[in-house]
Amino acid sequence: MLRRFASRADAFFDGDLFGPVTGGLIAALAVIAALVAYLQSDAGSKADEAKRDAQTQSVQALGLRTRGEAEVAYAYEDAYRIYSEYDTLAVDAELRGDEAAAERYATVRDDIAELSEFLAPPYYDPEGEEEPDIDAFEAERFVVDPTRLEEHFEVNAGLDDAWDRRARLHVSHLTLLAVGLALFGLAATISSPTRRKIFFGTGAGLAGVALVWLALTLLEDVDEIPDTAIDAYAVGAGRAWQGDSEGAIDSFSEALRVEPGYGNALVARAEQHYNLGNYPEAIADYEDARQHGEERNPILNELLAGSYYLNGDLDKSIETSRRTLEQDPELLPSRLNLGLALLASGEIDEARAEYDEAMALATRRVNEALASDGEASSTLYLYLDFAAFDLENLAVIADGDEELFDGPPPEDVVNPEEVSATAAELFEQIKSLNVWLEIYDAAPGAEPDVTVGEFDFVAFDEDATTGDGTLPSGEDEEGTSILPLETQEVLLTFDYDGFADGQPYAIKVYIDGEEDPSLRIFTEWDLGPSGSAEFSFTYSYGDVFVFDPGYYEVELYVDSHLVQRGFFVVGE
Amino acid sequence: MPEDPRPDTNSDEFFKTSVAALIAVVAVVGAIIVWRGALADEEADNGDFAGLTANVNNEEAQGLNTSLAYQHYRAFTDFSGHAVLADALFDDSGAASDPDDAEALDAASRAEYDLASNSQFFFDNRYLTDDGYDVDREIDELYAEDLEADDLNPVPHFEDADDARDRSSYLIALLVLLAGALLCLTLAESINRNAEYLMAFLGVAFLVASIVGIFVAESRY
Repeated sequence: MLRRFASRADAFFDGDLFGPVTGGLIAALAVIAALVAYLQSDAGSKADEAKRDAQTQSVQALGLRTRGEAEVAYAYEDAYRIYSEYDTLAVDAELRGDEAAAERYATVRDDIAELSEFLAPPYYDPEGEEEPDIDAFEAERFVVDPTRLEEHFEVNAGLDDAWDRRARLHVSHLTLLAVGLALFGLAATISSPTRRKIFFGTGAGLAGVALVWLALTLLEDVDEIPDTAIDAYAVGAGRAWQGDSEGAIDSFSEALRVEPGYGNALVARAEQHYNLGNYPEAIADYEDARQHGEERNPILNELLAGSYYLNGDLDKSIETSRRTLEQDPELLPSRLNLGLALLASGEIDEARAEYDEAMALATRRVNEALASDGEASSTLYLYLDFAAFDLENLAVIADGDEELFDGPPPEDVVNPEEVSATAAELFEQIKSLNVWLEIYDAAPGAEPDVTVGEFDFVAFDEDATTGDGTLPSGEDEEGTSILPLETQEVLLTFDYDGFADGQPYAIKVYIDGEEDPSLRIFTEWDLGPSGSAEFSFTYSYGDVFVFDPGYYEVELYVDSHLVQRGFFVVGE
Repeated sequence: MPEDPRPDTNSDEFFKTSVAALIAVVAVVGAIIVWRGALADEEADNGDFAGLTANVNNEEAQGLNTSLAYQHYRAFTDFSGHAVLADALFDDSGAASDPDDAEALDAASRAEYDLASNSQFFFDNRYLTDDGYDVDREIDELYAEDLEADDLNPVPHFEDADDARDRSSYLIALLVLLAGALLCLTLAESINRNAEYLMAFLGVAFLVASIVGIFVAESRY
């Protein structure tokens, strides 16, 4: 049978039919090439249109955001600032018993309120709310619409890539077809049967490959996210901006119902689950997002590692952080996450090594910034602060006490005694490093040989009826001072020894875990080598401002080393 | 006596020559289509560029106008605070029973009026209204001025670009028709007898359709 086919083939290549058949094939391939040229041109046009739309939307989003920012800046930093200045003056006058002045200032305040819709419902109700709802105003002015445009920009940038790729593939198809056509042409012009067979066969093969490749290319979909999904995502972004995590989750879920592989919506929904402490749901969404093109998103990976840690999946947290650091070893949050998860797993030495690396990284970054006359990002100091809180929290969990924030279940912490001791040690190191990096540009001095007694806090009012001006305060069951509501000034006292005048020191105050830099003190010691020190903290340059209710932590650093901490509570 | 084959040979030769000429015409028309398509592509690129430029101009104008108008509105807010307080102080000074108080209130009122006057230099009085300052009108007027001076509307450019792009695609699609003409004419050259005329006719039909298509493309888009 093979022989018969060969003899027929010989007859074809030697016979009169070869010329007409080859001519016909050439013409047929020319038709196909023209069709591919059309497809190429069409794909190129679609890529051009998508690119143009992406560029347009990107500029429009920027413009919209800028205009929104200008409007919000006026509303908050001018209208509301001036409104609240006159309001403060009115309250102050009222406290002084000057009714007429209070009324004058209130009149001006109310007049200012007429100038911006930000100072009226739904953003502000002066009767019932202390401050206007800036988040709602911002969400409307520069979050929802710009987010929608930015998403369209991303989609169109993706379409541009996809259509451009298809256009380039069609150029490859055309090239193969052109070579095939040339070989057919050559086969038609030469007389040697063997060479004729070679050229014809190769030409047919190339044309076949081009056609199969073309068919496969045309079967590929070009992904496009529907407008309804983008709209729902943008609404979700606005709700997330306002802290409405549950509403945002509903919107992101709606977007994902329309487009299940919408990577940005998966990441955004995961973040909201994370905020709500729904760690298994956050993990599921983050992992899903990783499967939809977000595997190199550093924030996603950082929060995924955090979610695994908080969910008690310490091995997964370690694995995620290691994978992230393989992509970029300079990611400070991932390095800190890795150290924390290793520590909770009882891998003490490895954890120390990671924290050492993280501290070296932070130091290097600050030094590099200073060397180039710049500044390191302020988030670096926040990361170190958060890392310290995480360590303190882990120590508390390892000790079996009630955790300060969310943390891994106590039963998942391996070798809790050693974990607690190491966490406390690393906490001090990181806190000290943070002060050194943020406040002093010099290397920290040696550990100071100072003794500082326990902190004592009292609320102070120079007009108080008691003899020394202190206000009555209480204590909770752990001995923490509870100062009265509307405290205007807090006095910190402690005994000390071993200090030297001129020694640098700093005091930092945290309210519910967040530092208030306006209360920060950093200067040189001038109170002598030993004795009792007293420091005053106040917001009150007049009679109106008081300490907000909350949990306050005060830290004393000497030569950048944390030497004492104390706590007090304002209100219940 | 056998028939003289020459007339048939001549007719065949004429047919073949005609088909060859038609193939050459197909090639020329193909070149024209590619040329017009390339021009349309360039036109589309230019339209896109002009549209993007207008878009950037538009956003820049709106951004700067908003910023400027809110600077003015900021000054007006200061003005308004000082003016209302000055009025209130003035009213209270008139109602004060103690002459010292009245004098102090009057002095404070004049100071506030001065501050209000100072703020007045920093906004445009044209936009003052009965109950405040029409910042939206200022933004709109500034934009109208920009519209007179600059091209701020990208839409017509993008529409032109889309038309040119459609024309280019349409012209490239005509190449398929033209390739069909080439196929038919090639077959007319190589196949036997009666079918060759049918193929030649189809080839000519495709060719004519392509030429008509070029005119349609050029007139419609």
